[in-house]
Amino acid sequence: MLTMNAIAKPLSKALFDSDLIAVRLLLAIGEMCWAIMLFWPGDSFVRPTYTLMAAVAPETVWAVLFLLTSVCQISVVLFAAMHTLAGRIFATWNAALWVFSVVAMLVSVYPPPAAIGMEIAGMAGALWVWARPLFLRRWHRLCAGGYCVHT
Amino acid sequence: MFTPEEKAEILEAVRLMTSLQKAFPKNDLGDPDFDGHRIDHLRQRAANEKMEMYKVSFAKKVIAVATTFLVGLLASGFVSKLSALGVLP
Repeated sequence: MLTMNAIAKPLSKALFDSDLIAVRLLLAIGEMCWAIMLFWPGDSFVRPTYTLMAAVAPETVWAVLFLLTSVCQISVVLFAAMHTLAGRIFATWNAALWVFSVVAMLVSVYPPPAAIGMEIAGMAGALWVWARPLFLRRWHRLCAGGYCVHT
Repeated sequence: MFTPEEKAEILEAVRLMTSLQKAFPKNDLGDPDFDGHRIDHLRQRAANEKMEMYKVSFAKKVIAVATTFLVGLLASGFVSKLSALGVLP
């Protein structure tokens, strides 16, 4: 019999006791691909999926944003800057970028485009990279005397 | 009395105990704080258990939200399909 505990314990290990470097690298690849395809000659933003993004900024601006984000993402991984202030600020920006891009595409067309499945997964990953340290920090504070990480 | 080998063994044991005591912080009496060390480990263990509880409780919420979302989505899709096929009004 599969109980809630039997699923929740391994899931909590996967969520909290795994490193997120692979997620960051996948995000970096996704962001680089976005930049390349937006820089590609031709007007991608005439397509209805990008209506809301086009209303916010021109295609080239988005391309530059994705390119810079990708470079920063790779730098964060290479210099192990995940827990620095700059790393945390970047994680916030990264989550905001993915959430806005995905929501903008979802509200621009109906039915939802199946091709953005990985973008939705990327948004979830970016949100988790941003949110997980906040949960862990809060729980560490709540644990008696701050003793938590010694195993 | 002790043989020279036994004396050497005793001296080695004393040397080891002395260096072992240096690994502990001193208590208010100036002695190695063995009991404080034990209590510290008990605290760490309790804190780790509490942390584990938070993590598992969060995972349970994730499962509940994901299940509700997926079932809701599939159910609404199923109802729409049945309506489109004229099975439902």
